[in-house]
Amino acid sequence: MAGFWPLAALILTTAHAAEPLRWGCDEEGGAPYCFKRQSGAGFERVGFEVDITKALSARLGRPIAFTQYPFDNLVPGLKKRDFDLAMNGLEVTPDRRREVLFCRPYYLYRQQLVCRIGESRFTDYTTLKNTLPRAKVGTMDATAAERILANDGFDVAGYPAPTEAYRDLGLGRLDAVLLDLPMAISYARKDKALAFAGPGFAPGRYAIAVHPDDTSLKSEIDAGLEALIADGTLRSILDQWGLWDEFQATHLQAATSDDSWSLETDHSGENWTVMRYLPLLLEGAWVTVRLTAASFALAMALGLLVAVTRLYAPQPFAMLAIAYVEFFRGIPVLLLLFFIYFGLPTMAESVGWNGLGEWITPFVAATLGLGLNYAAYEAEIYRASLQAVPRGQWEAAACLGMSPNLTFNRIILPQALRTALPPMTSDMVALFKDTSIASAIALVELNKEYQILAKSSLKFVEIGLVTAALYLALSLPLGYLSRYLEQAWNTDSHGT
Amino acid sequence: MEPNINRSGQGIAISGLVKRHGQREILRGVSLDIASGSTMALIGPSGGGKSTLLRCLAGLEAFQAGSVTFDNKIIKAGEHHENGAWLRSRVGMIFQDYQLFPHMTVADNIAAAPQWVTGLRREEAIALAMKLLEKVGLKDQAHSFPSRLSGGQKQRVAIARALAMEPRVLLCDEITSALDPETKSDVLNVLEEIRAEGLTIVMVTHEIGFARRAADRVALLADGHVAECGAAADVIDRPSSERAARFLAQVMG
Repeated sequence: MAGFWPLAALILTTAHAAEPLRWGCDEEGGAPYCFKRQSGAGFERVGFEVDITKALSARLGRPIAFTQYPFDNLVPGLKKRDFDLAMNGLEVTPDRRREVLFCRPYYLYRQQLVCRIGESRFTDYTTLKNTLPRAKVGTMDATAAERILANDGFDVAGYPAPTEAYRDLGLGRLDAVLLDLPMAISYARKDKALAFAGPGFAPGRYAIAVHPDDTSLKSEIDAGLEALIADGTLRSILDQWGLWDEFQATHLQAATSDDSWSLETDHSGENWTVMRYLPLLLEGAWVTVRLTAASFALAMALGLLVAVTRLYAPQPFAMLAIAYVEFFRGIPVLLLLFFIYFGLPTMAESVGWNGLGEWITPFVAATLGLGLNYAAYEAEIYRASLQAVPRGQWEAAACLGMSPNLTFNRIILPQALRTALPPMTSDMVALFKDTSIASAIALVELNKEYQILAKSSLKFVEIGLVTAALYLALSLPLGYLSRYLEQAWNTDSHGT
Repeated sequence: MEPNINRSGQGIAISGLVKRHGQREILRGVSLDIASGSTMALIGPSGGGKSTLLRCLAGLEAFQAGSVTFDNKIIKAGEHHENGAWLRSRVGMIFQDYQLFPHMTVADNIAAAPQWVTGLRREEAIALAMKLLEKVGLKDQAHSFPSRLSGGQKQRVAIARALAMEPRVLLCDEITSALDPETKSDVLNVLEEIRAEGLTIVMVTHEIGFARRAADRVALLADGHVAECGAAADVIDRPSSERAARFLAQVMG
């Protein structure tokens, strides 16, 4: 009996110690933060943040369990308590500081401009701003760099991952890429086609974020980090990843996550007036309209071809048409966009055909991807509509001496198009909204322009309302047009 | 060019026509002679093969044995495709359900084929259409869409549309079956007028009275055979076969 209490105490302590802290992080964000690297037959998770959490875990005496979470949603995820701490190159920004509690910084980043080797038009960010004020500059979504670029009026292309931005720079689709120094070190420094343009600038802080109520957890982590700094562990981790530099040596010790840190320039501004952001939104809306028109034109033409092939062509071709519909209806548009935009140029290069990357701009890729996808839906609509035209119409035309081609063009198709009009219009409205998917391949259409502007200005609600109004102003007339056409045609064509 | 609507008809000789749908034999060796410029009414019970015979004559269906001879052009089994163009230039057809083109005005329905197939200029084709509309008594409806017309009016437009291609033979497939009695007579009057102009007409009909009045000869088709064929009055008033007598007793009440 005497041994019971110590045993119970041991179990309880162990239970507490074993309760892991859940760490929200996006390993798709890439190197050097937290990413997967091939190791033998499998993959292992590595990165300087992985090393820091390991050291921190040992210091706190609690395991830290990795939780995959999209980078864009780390702050909302934290507030929902899907995990206990967020750490993924999360910059300490004023809008985030309002939502979550930041621990002391573990790394001080700066922005690094990267250009193609041999770039002669500019040498650093300042000369880029002066000589190419409307240059196309790539960065990552929802980053401080994106804010800086939008604020300086550049043509911003936001990517979900750094690899894609640097690749597009290499392919000549971008003039430059502005990203946090760690990414530039990890990706661009290794790339022989790319070079650093000027020194790092616009410093900022990476810090672990916790739920605003978790003040004790914050103190715990702060103490842990201070200890890691004091005993040199943090320095050796950063060193190992090539991230320790003069700037860390000078400033990391004294860095804090509140307003008292004065090295940061606040790029969120009150200078974002309607007159400043509305023209940019309209520019985005114009891209959306052009993309809708181009991809729907492609979808209609291709859809008709597929439907006609399926209905009237010999068996093998008809099978191909069926395969087309099933294939393109079955795969996600996003996957298709990525394949066309990133996959095709790489494939072309591997067979020695360069220059395809420059030709497949985000707009071209989005037009192709959405057009190919919607063609499958249009094909089904046309097929049903063509089949809805009575067989007797073919016979009546034949008895008047009309050839099958003439009959199809002048008699069958015009009637089928009337039947197809309502579902076609609703598809067009759906496509109009689906164009926002193109933001994933750095096409700055209306939705993307909104994201950039809202994050730069922090006027999420105001700019959001204006953007919604623009979408409605563009999609409502489509609905009216369709209803008008339907009525105009129906009065003429009821019955036979 | 003044279109000649009153071109003379063409004689048709049908010989041993066999038509099968899979295993089912619909026409089992049909032979009929239709004199040039005459009107032949095909009567008989449903499923007897009347409409199928008409569709074979129009080239809409292939047949498996026998032949159809228009004057001296022989069309044998399996040849209706290569003879399609020849047939269409001489044979017009009118359907029970009209099959007007719903997306075109009445005038355009009639002018379409002369314009696109014959190659008339649009003004010529429209002039022809107006002339034919006058003939069928629907000139005032030239710019209406078919959906605005009654059944009888639609069928008269369909007749005008067929006549616009100047056929020598006009095939009418139960063209009054879907009509109510008042509009029916309008259509039948138009048909009698055309008959007077010398076209060869083959019509499938359930109007025994009209067949007796307007047809020169009547053929009664039952079970894929010609059960009886002769002068209209003879076949209808004094059927010689038991099969014909039974059918006529049924339809005449």
